[in-house]
Amino acid sequence: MTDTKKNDWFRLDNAATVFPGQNSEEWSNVFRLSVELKEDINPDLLAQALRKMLPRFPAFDVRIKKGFFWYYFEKNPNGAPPVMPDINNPCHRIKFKENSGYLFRVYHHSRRISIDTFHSLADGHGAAVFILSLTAEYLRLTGADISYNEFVLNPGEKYRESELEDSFRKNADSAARMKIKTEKCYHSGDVRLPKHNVNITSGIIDYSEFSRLIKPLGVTATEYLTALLLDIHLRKQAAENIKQRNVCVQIPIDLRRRFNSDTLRNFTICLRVVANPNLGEYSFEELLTQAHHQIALASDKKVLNAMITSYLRTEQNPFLKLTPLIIKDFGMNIGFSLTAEQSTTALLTNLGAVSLPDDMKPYIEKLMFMPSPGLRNASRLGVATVNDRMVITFSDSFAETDVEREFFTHFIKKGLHVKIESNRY
Amino acid sequence: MSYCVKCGVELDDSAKKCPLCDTSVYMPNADVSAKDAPAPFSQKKVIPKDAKKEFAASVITVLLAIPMIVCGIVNLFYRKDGFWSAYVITSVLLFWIIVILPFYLRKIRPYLMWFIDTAAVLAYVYIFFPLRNENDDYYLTVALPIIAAVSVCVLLFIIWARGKERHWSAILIHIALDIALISAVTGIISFYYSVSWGMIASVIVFLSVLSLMGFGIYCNRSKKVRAWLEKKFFI
Repeated sequence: MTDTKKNDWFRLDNAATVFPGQNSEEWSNVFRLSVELKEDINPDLLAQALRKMLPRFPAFDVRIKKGFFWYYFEKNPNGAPPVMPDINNPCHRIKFKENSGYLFRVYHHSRRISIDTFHSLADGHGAAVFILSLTAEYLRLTGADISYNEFVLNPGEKYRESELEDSFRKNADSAARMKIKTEKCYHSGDVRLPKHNVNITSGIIDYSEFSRLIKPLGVTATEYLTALLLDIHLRKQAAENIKQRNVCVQIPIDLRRRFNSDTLRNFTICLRVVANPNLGEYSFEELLTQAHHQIALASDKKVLNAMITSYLRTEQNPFLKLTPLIIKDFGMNIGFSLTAEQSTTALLTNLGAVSLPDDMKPYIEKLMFMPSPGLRNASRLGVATVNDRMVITFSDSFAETDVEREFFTHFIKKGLHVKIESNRY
Repeated sequence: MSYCVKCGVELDDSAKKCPLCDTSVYMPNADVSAKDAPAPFSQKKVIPKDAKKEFAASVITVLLAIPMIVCGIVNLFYRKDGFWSAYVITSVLLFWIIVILPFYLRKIRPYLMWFIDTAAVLAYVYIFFPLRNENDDYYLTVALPIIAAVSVCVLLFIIWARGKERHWSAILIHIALDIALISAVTGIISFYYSVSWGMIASVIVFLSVLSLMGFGIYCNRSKKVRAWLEKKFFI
């Protein structure tokens, strides 16, 4: 059997299985990555680059189909999705039969290339490799000479089987079980925007300035930003004068380095950093300590292994396995409607510093990572750093912008320069 | 390059207000190129169609299938009154074709639906009359002309409505006119076959829709009444 034949269809990975059942108008599970160049985008060349690049990424070159018990991916015979002018309200639901059956949309606007990806296909890392490889190919078509690295793959070479592997299934071998906490957390009582509307606010900060801020504190960027989110939400909750609940920030952690994987599909797991306001008032420094230690404890490889094993065991439950897909979807939909985001106040997902080939750096202005807007989370933010430029993007389905303001003015008060871009004005 | 005086953040050249605090940007000396700078995000909003309708249609389909299956099975054991479950099965099928089927179409296809619905009604009536042991002539002499009249009226309405965007008062007049025509055809056929209840019903419907049409025409001509109705009822 040839590889192409072998990969004509494949199962959804463990994390991906939950998303199709939750796929709804309110909760799209679609996130966005954008690359801003220094010149305006030529859509014809971008479409050409996409057609050339797509066969190199069999994990993206698929459509989703329904089996009797589970969804599965099958190679999409339609060539490539259309390249469309960008929209103001991205990350809305991807219906499985639209967009030529592809589970990602490609947009262009001015100097920006954007890809909205359904989470069943890949996580932030996989999507970042895809968009950067696409951008590199586009630049090559404009005449630039771009080399390859781990984020910029060569469309001429054959994909590696390890890029397609379900790393959850491969690495989950813990004897321990981890109970997944679902306690009710604080959610702000802000006013929701009308359906299909989203407030996007990006703050651009110089990464070396930011490093100078966090280095003396001995914390990572994720830990610092988590503490800042906890601080803002704790103060917001106290001001609302309601029953004081835990404030919890959810953080997806990339497992690739820890488990030595180079899959381009999903391989992240969500950690929770919690602050209990009933224990007393926290200073920002105390919250930094909390974030640092909670993340360090939860990031232990053995703990992570136990977590992914627990998730896999749920999927492999014989009763669940034999339940028809239609019932699974119905149960997932109802369950999610009742408990969605109940146990998280905010989400912070940090793609980290993305290393580009040296000859590509002069062409790239910035990289933007935007999570899908939430139902109850007043703040969901994505962070991506490239060329020493850190972009923090809030995607928010609430009318108020007080969290964003508190967040970015914190850096102004610390003497950092912040540039704001938004889809609002 | 502009900054928010309240937040201290740098703003995009195209920003008219600070996205964080809504403070207006005031730069009287800014050059024209900065004022016309492209916005960082597209201003075009796409509102996707609600996909729940397909799910709702599937749920209704399953709910409709249950009485059909139950009646069919029960009828197998109680055959004393003949094939009575066919009433339920054909009626439910007709309802499904007319009401539920359009929800499964990716885009609205009025001509296709008109054709399918007309054929379905003709088939339904063709099956229904022999089941009730009615006179076969009824189908050709009464049912067929009435269905044809309804079908032609609906087709004319579709052609008219698709021409350009119509005001609600004009749509009201046309719907009333179509119903009046159909009731007139029904009345004439009833008169021809001396069906008194058919004649009475036709006259009642005819007069009712004529008054409705009068109201529609009045609204269509009077801007003041239209404005008042739109304000009061958000039409």
